[in-house]
Amino acid sequence: MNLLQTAIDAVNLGAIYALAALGVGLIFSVMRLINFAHGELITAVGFTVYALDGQPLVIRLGAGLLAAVVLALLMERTAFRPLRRANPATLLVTSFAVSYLLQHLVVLIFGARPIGVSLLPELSDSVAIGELRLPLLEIVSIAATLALLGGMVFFFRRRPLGIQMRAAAEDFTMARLVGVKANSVIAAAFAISGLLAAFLAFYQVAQSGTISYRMGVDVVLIAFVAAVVGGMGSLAGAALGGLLVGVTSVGLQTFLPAEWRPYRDAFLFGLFIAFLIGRPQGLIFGKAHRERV
Amino acid sequence: MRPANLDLTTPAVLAAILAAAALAASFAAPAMQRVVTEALIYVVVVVGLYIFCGNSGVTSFGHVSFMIIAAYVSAILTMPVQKKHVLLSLPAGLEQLHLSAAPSALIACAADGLVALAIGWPIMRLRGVVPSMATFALLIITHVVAQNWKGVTGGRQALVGLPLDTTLWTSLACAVLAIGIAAWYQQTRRGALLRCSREDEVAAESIGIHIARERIVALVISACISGLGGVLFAHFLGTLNPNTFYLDATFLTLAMLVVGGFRSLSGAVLGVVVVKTVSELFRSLEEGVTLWGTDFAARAGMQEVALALIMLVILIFRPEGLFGGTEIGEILGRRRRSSHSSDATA
Amino acid sequence: MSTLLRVEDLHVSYGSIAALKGVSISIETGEFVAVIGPNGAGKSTLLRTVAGLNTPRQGTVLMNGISIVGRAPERLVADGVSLVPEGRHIFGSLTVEENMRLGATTRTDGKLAVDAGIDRMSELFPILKERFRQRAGLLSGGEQQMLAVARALMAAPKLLLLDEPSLGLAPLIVSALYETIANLRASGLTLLVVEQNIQLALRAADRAYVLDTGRIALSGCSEELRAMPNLHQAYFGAVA
Repeated sequence: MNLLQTAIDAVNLGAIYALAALGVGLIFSVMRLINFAHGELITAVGFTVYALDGQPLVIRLGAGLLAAVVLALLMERTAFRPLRRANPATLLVTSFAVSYLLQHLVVLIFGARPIGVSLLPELSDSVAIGELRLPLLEIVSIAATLALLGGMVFFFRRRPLGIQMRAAAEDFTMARLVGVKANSVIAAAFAISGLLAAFLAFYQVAQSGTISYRMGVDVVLIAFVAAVVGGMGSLAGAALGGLLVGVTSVGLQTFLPAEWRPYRDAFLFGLFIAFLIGRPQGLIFGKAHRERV
Repeated sequence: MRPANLDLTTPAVLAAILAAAALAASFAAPAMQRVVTEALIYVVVVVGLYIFCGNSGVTSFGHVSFMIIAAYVSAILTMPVQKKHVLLSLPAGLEQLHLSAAPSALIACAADGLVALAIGWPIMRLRGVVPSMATFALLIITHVVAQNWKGVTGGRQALVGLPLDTTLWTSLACAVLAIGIAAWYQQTRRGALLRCSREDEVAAESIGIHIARERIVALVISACISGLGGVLFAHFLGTLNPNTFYLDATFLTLAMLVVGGFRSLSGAVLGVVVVKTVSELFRSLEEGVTLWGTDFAARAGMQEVALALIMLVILIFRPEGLFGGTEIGEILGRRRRSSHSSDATA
Repeated sequence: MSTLLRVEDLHVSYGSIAALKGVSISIETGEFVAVIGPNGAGKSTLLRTVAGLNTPRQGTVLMNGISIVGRAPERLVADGVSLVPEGRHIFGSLTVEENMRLGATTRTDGKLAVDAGIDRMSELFPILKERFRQRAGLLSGGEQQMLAVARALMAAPKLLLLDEPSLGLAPLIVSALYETIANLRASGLTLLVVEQNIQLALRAADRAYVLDTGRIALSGCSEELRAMPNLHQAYFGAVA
């Protein structure tokens, strides 16, 4: 039964990482930008939820969602739009700078110490199914993630904007040449990534009960790994990569001998480097990687 | 291997500026000396970073790992045997080993060179932003290992009692050395080949440049120098823990490189000067300053916010940095030439 | 007949390299104009500039008398300029149908009109109709080229720009393609085509411009140019 428990944990973590990877991969696919600042979207949601402590749940969640989307769009408009034609190296460093800026703005306003926050305490109970004890939060999280992923699949297959985004991800210039508006597609990518970040934040805050200026860092690092593993530029790949990384992470945690467990992340990133060497284009080869000669 | 017009002006001018600063500081208060010493150490680190990033065009997020590795190697070799016995659990031979500053620094840098070779070999073949992501992974791995390998690094506990060998003059000497090596490397044929690949990977490859090999060479040299910076830092602070060099240090050194302009040595050095000045300004503001009878105190976090904003402004409006990829030698050369031509017409 | 497109003294550079050094052309509504010339002459640059991908250093591009310089490519599609760039560039991960419907992105005349457009394209390019739901990446070279053209036509353009449509295609397919395109002129389409294959270009087009190292070297009716004995020697080397 323990194995089943582990399996469910793995699926849950995988789903979370899939969302994180999608958030990062979406922006990369339309802009060639690896958004280090994605983590700060999560932080913004966390602090918004904290600031509205005591308000009805709907208000807290709604405001959090709004904060993520607005911040994402703001980021795009002020920091990344001017750099749209810049080379990937400059974009990378810029997003790093934006991330650093936002982190320390939080420090400036709220201080550097972690703060305790209560969100959805009702979900901290567990449900007993046979010998399994499943945290309610995990169940809700898996359900919500599946719903979200399903929504995204629908959006990208059926809605015109979604199809335009897929086209733009494959060949941005050609998409413009058929009339797809560059600004709309990029703004949409950022907005959606904000939405995904909000979900991640809700889960993280509900699960850990704390917020801090660095709360987005860990998830974002994993998101990059997942997005690269999946194949930058391929949205399905990003989701798959997230799942894979989540499962691997839980697997390492479970199967590593006790003395090695603190090194779990080192192993994870070591495997990542090995993966980069063996299959740098990722699992699902998106056209994003091929240089346009 | 030497090109026709060797640029000796740039390293000479840069070295002179730093020497002047050190000289001025030696007459100032100890606090100021510490600031200048720290700045000189950053010059070593950032010049090391520049040797790789500036010539290859690949952003490395992992150079701080080289600092960590070298710092710990040097710490283990130079710490008093007593302390080592208490804080760490090393094999007997290593525990008893006690070297002075210079040989341990050499060994530390050599260790970095080996690591750079090992990691560079498989990674530097990769294209696009992938090698940068790999360097980021290296940073994380090094950090996790440093935090958990209690026997060798002391884990999250700080190692204390490192001999304070870093003085104003040793750091100046190392800074000048770093600048000399950087100037030499970028004027060799190897350096030029690497810079070709910086502009256009595909084109460079098509004319037979072995990009991976050139990158590895640059990485090894660069790792040794940044590592030297790490050693200097460890023996400047006297203590060392895994968080001494991690994300904040990564951001700071990248910011210094970007602000000055990561395509020129002069830019790298200038970037250190500018950023260090700004951060010192804010640091003293944080301590509180009295202007016109009122007390001003900046809050914690303001320094970082200011630095990040400066970096963003530069990236958006002048991405090539303040120096824009030119060297001091070029600028002075142009002025000399134009003054000559005006003489001719006079 | 009115002037649909007028390019005046266009100077376009890539960095410090000048690709177009003062090019002026003029196209009447309903004309089929070819641009021919040796490699590197700047033919693609000309088309890309008209389509909004490059901004000229100097000079203007006028469509129906209004300057369109500096407009974003997606805006120009809405204005009636469609470019089929060199190398087809279909969206391989999307289906043939999705590709075509994307072409109609800027249309404002409603779903029925778009569906009618799709039907029209299916008539013109029957092979595409068969492959409607297939991933476009699986199509052959010739089919992809047809899809690229169909997609551009879905925007109901006034001016269709084609960059090297015959490149890499079998002659049979190329002539079929040109036939289809030429027939579209009947519905008022104006064509500006860059073509490597001089014979093809001069047979299909009404007029042609010869572009050489960024300048218009020669222009005239196709018959005139066809009759010139040293045209090939002068601009394309000895091989005709």
